[in-house]
Amino acid sequence: MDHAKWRFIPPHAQNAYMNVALEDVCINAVAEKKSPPIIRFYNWEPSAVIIGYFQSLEQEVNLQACRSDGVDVVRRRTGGGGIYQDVHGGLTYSVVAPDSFFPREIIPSYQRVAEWMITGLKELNIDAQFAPINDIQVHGKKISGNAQTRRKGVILIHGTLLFDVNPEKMFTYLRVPDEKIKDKMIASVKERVIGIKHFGVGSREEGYAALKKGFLHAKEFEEMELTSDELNAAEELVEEKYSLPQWIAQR
Amino acid sequence: MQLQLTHKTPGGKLVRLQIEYSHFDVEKVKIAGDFFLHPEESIGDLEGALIHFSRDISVERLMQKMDAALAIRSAQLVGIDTRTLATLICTAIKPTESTNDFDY
Repeated sequence: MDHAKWRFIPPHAQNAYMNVALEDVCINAVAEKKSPPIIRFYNWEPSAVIIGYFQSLEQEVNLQACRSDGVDVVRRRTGGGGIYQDVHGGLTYSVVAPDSFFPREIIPSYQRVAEWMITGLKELNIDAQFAPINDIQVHGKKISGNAQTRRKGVILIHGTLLFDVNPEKMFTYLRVPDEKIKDKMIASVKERVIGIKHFGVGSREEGYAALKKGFLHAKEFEEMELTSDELNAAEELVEEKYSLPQWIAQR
Repeated sequence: MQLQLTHKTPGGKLVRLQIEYSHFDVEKVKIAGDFFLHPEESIGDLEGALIHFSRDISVERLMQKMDAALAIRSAQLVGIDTRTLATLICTAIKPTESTNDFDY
């Protein structure tokens, strides 16, 4: 239902705990009709590892390396794999809308947002395709990964568009099953994954401008920053949930 | 006793199982990985179905238990399926002639 009026929240940086808490705040705001459906672009400051809801913290994250380098570690509400988000790294976005806006089936709902992304990437002369379940690829290489949750009659789909690929840094913070195959895994990521920088995109800002065109194409929208009430609600959620070991280390 | 196993579906998602078992029974199974399950809270239902069952359970029966647990909230498992999970668990915990040979 692209004819509905959307709210666009322009790129802003938060720490990892606030970013995951803000996803809840946006879900609540849309569920309670306090906000129109939301498209939010955001960054991570400081750098962060974000693991999927069902992942094992201990098995997926090198906690010691994260601690010593000041990298936040957080568990998100959605499934999928762990990612490292560098402070200067990928572009992240979330889409929060009533579930009637999206197909009921999981994969077609990813495809809907993927189409917006593909439209945006065309602005950068990048020809991308949806790769089920939840990826977007260019020439068979992953350029974007997505995840979703559905609650309170609302769907949240969020994801990352890669700017640059730095698997050496990624595997400093995400565990590899065996140190002996680390080099092989780094080489494999370089073969399978690609960022928009590879296509001559000079900055994240340039990437976000193209994404904005793709995500908001043919939509009526108003640009509206997060309100102080929303930021306060997110801070409360960080204190009560997302920064606590009971949440982060639950699996 | 405890065993851990990791499985990656071809072109799909990774699942890590942690299985606690005794001589005759499986005590509990913890399921982790980069799969999707909607709603996410259903993981408690799924793991709840994997408590205290015989090590000689069939794949079909174990799959039925998991499917019934997922039906509680009409949950959708994406990137892995209950047949694969049941097969992994049954293969790993199948009693041998002599459990002394059961070494992971």
